[in-house]
Parts: sequence; C-alpha cells; structure tokens
Amino acid sequence: MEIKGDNYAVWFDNANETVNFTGSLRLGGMEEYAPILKLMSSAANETSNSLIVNLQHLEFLNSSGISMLSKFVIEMRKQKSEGLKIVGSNLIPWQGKSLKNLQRLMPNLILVLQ
Amino acid sequence: MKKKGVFQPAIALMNRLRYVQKFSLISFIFFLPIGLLMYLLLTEVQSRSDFTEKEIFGNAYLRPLRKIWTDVPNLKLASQNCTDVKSFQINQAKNSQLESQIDRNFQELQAIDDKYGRFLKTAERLQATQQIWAEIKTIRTQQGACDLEKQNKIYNRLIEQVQSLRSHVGDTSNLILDPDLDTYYLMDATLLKLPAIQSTIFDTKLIIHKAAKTQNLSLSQRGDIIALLGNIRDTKEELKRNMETAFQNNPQQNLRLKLIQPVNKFTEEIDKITAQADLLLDTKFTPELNYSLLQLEQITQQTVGLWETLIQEQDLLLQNRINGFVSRQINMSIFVILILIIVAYLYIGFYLGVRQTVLKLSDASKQMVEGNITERVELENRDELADVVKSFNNVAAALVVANKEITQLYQKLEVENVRMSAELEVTSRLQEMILPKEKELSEIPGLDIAGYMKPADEVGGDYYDVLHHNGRVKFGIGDVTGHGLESGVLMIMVQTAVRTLQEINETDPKRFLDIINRTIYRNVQRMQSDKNLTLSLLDYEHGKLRITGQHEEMIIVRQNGQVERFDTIDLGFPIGLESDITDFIGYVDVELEVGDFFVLYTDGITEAENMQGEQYGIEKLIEVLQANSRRSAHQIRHAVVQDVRQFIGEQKVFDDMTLVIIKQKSEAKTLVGVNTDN
Repeated sequence: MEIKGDNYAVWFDNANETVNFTGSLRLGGMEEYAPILKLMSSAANETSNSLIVNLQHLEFLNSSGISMLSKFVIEMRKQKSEGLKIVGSNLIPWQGKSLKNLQRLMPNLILVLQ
Repeated sequence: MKKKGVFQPAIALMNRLRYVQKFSLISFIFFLPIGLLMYLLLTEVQSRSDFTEKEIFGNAYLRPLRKIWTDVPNLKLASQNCTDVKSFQINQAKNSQLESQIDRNFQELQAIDDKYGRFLKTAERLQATQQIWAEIKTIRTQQGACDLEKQNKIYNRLIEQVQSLRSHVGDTSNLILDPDLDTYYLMDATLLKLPAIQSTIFDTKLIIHKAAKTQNLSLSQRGDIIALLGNIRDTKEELKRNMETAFQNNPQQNLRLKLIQPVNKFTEEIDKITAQADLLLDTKFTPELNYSLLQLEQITQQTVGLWETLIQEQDLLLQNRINGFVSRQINMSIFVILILIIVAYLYIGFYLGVRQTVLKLSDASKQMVEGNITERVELENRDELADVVKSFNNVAAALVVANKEITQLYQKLEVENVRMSAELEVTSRLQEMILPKEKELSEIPGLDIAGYMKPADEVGGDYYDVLHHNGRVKFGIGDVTGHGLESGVLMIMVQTAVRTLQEINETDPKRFLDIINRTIYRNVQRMQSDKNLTLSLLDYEHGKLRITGQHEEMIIVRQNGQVERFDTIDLGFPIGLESDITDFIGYVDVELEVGDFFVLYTDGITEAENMQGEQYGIEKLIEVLQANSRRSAHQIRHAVVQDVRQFIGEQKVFDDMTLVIIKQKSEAKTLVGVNTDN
C-alpha cells in the first residue's frame, strides 16, 4: 500500500509492520486525509502484534493532519486488541508537542522520540 | 486483413498524393495503353492508306505506259515496209508523227517517273527502256537498206522492256496485292488481261499484214491465227468471269451498273472476231485480209477504250478507299478526343466537388474553433465525403448540446460562487465583529494591548479574545484545525462559550475548560465535524497571570529583556477531541512587573514558511520581541508582523496568523475597573 503526493509519501512496510511517513503533509481537511487514514487502518488490521508508525522523516504536519493522527489513535484505543508504537524525531518541532497528546489519548501507546 | 495488406503500398502512395496528383497519375497510367493503341491503330490505317496511294501512283504510271504499249507496236507494224522504199516514203510523214507521239509518251512517262519514281523504284528500268527507244530512233534516221530482222529484234526488245517495266510497276505499287476483290479484278484487267489481249491482237495483225501482201494465207499462218484467236477468246472469257466476280464483290454495288455495258459490248466484239477462227478452219475459206486488218484495228481501239474506262473506275474505287481510311482516322481521333474531354470534365467536376466540401468543412470547423458553433453543413454531396459531412454534423450537433450544458453549468457555478462568497463574506464580517475592538483594548487599565489576526482564507480558524469583567481580564488564544467556514463557526462558538462562563464567574480553571470542552465536543459531534482546537486561557488580576489550557508556548519578556517560555503541553488537551479532558488540565501562575509583556500567538507565525521551505521559528520571534522590548505593544506587534511578512516573501501563506502583545504599563494593583459589575 502506498500513497504518494507532490511533497510526501506514505507507505506500509509489511515485513516490518511499519507505516512510514516522509516529506511534508499539508492536506486541507479530513476528507483529503481519508486515504491515509484508511491506509493506516488497514495496515493495523494486517499486523498481528503492534503497528509501528514511523514519523521520523515527516518534516511537517498541519493541524488537520495531527487531528487525523489523533482520530487514528482513538480508533486504535477502541480496538483494545491492537498495540501501537509511534516513532518520532526530537529534531522536528511539531512532533515534540503533538505526539505527547497522542499518548494521552491512548495510555498504552508506545512513544519513542529519537 | 490479408487483402488489406496487398493494397497497403497503393494506399500508402495514394494517401501521399493530392487529388490533382492522384488524377494525373491514374490518367497517365491508364492512357498509356490507350495512347499506344491509338497510335498503332492510326498508323495501321495510315499504312493501309499509303498502300492504296501507291496503287494510285502505279495507275498513274500505267497510263503513259499504256500509250507506249499501243503506239510502239503500230510503229513496228509501219516499219515492216522499210524494205519497200516507195511505200516507206509515202508513210514517212505518218510514221514521223507516230514517232513524235511516242516521244511525247516518253516525256509524259518521265514526268510521272519524276513524281513517283522513288516510290515505284522504276528509275533503272525506265532508263533501259528509254535507251532502247533511243536506239530505235537512231535506226529510223538511217537512210538506206533496212535490216528488217535486226529492226524487229530491237522493237521486240523494247516491247519486252515495256512489259517488264509495267510488270515491275504492278509489283512495287502494290497493285497486284490489292486486298479488295473488285479493285483487284479491275487491276487484273488493266495490268494483265487487256494488255495481253492487245498484244495478241497485234501479233494477229502482224501475220495478216504479212499475208495481205501476197493475199494468201498459208497453212501455218492459218494455224497461228487460229491459235492466237483462241488465246484471245480464252483471255476474254477469263476477263468476263473476273469482271463478274468484281461486280459481285463490289460493296457499293454500283460497279456493275457502270461497267456491265462496256464490258459486255467489248466481249461481244471480241466474240465477233474470234468467231472467225472457226471459219478459218475451213481451208477453202480465205477472209478479206484488208477488212480483217481494219477489224483488228477497231478491236484494238475498243480494247484501249475499255482499258481507259476500267482504270478510271479503278482509280475512283482506290480513292474512295483512301477517303474511307482518312475518315476512319478522323472519326476515331474525334471520338477519343471527345472521350478525353468528357473524362477531364468529370475529373474537374469531381475535384471541384471535393474541394467545395473540404472548404465548407474547413470553414465550419474554423468557426467552431473560434467559438461560433454553426448550423449543420449542407451539401449536395452524395458520395463517401457525405459520410464525413454527416459525422461532422453529428459532432457539431453534439458540441451545440454540450456547449449549452456547459453554459448552464457555468451559470449555475457562478450563482453558487456568488452565494458562497456572500456566505463567507457574512461569516468573515461576523468574525471581525467578534474580535475585540481597539477601543475596548485601550480602556483596559494598566495594560497596553495590541492584537492582530490575519486569516489565510476569507474566514480563519484562529481564536483570540480579551474579556474584561469584574476587575479581571481573561485572555484567550486558540487555533481550530484547518481554516475556512466551519473552523470560523467553531471559533465563534468558543468565544461565546468563554464569554458565558466568564459572565457566571466560573473561576475554577479545571471546571472552566472541562465545560468548554464538553460543550464544543458535543456540538462537534452533532455537526459531525472533524475539527478541534487548541485553547489557552490566561486570567489576569492585579499583576498576577494564571495560565491554563494547551496551546503554543507562551512567551514573557521581562523588562530587562529576559525571556521566559511557558510550555502549555501539560496544561490541557485539544478541545473537542475527547469527551473528558479533566485529567489533563493544569495551570501555572506568573507575576508581571511593570514593563513586562507577554505574547500570545498561533503557529501560523512560528510555522510560516519562506520560499526555501524554512520555518520562521520561535527563536526568530523571540529575537524580534527582545529587540523591541522597550517599545509599546503596538510597536512590538508591528515589528513582528513586518518581520514575518518579510520572511515569508513570495511564499504562499498556509495558516492563519494571530499575535497579541500585552504589556504591563502601570501599577495595576489598584484596579478601579471601568466595569460596573462586582
């Protein structure tokens, strides 16, 4: 599964059970983020243990995007069977603040900031 | 498919040629064999015409020849008396006349030979004939004893030579090859039979002439005459039969009418003479020899007469034949030329018709391109191009329909656009109306406040407010996800909710934000919206500032230029995202001295991008704040806005920008508020 845009790419690495993000995401609203949300949801369904979301190379994510991630985490929380791990980077400004919120949404979310 | 492959080269070639070239090519290839055939036909007819023309030349040659053939034997006969000096002298004048006549005949012959000699290849033989005649003339001038035997030999040679010349002319002039039966048998009469008869008659005359001297016919003489007469009769019979064949095979069937009488008359006269052969069988019978000579002379003239008649008819028929050939050539040529003209005419018509259609289509499509969709293209064309025209018309008709649809849709869109613009304009005005006014801000005692908000679209999603109530000032700053109409509406809802809670004097920060969150959350659920917002609230009273709620870092710049940053991550949670956020709500207290100022902003400022994709960043913001820390709130605000604008440059603005500068300007500890409520 792969979604590509002008400045970004999102793809599911089946072997490593990781959804990877690269580039800069500035989509306008939830409708535009729907395909990515769908990719993440179906990736979660395919993994037996925890899904890993790798945001280390996502330079920028606008508020709608963070909102989309929040929705995803809430969804994951509701499906108690799934585990979730999010890997981010300390060097990227927006990640420090927003990713912490995600952990609050789902207490057993594993957050790694490298 | 195989069939199409066979024609591929032809198709390829034809497609590369324009119509004129196509026509020319096909016409050229097609008319090559036709041209060849016409050429062969015309030359064939021409050669037949030339063939016949030569026959006419031959006949022309035979005419003087025939005169010589008549006169020379007469001279020979006359010169049999050369031994008889007396009678010779009596006949001298007559013989000289005859000689001159023969001379004239030869001149005539020479003239004809000059004209046609090269066609008939008679030069040599004529010369030989003339030489012999010259010899005879020389002998005749010699007086004295004549050598009759020698003379006769020379005359015989001349007669033979003339015969040979005639025979040669018959060959070279194609007369003996004449292809039509009527003219062929006429030729047979004039070239062969009649001269033969004439010759045989002369031989008979010679014998009788000799016998007339002694008035006695010897047995051998009798026998010779009978044989000669028999010969004449046979020849005459053949001639008669041949003439009959000629009459029967004359296509115009008028030859019989013209010639039957002279031929019959002639054969009758011959019969009269040859009948005498039977009489001669009786040895006791001797005819009147002088009378016989006369009779023979007569029949000779009649032979000549018939000859002239026949050759005239022959010439007529030959000329008719040539005329026939010429008219055939002309007719064929006219026919072919007519056909060519008709073909050319049709070709041109075809080409013009096609060009007309092409031009009309070209025209119509040009008009379509320019936007004037025309009516149907009408043409009288009924061929394959008519199918093209039909297709074209179908396309045009479809375009007309599509164009109508497009125009309608466009109009709808325009209406929609106008409506939406109006909606946005209304909401934008509402937003503007909701923001704190400059006058309000200036009335807040002890604080120098400057606010700035610039939406990225017509309606933004940023929120800020300054609410003065009961000696307390509540500052709010927030950022709804996204921007546009829905975000703007949410922002207005938040403003109202905050104002409401302030009015009922809700002071507990946890409760405050919890209620706000639940209110917004349930509205958002009802609206089925995906939006949520960050929200920080700052309560100011008597120089004390309590900060609560999650938003950007809050910045305080102290009077001495020192900067303090307050992370609000642990002070709250996004509003409208979760139903219960009480666990996450916290607060922080800060004291403000005179000259200190704090800055509220949204990430539209810190995350503003330039053309290189770099972000403005909080550090840069702090730099500008520090640089301008001694100035008024408005001046500081202005400086930051300028700096950010400059940084962005030509790059697109992605997010709403909000900036509020609040400076402690005087001792606010004694706050006798302007507000009436307490």
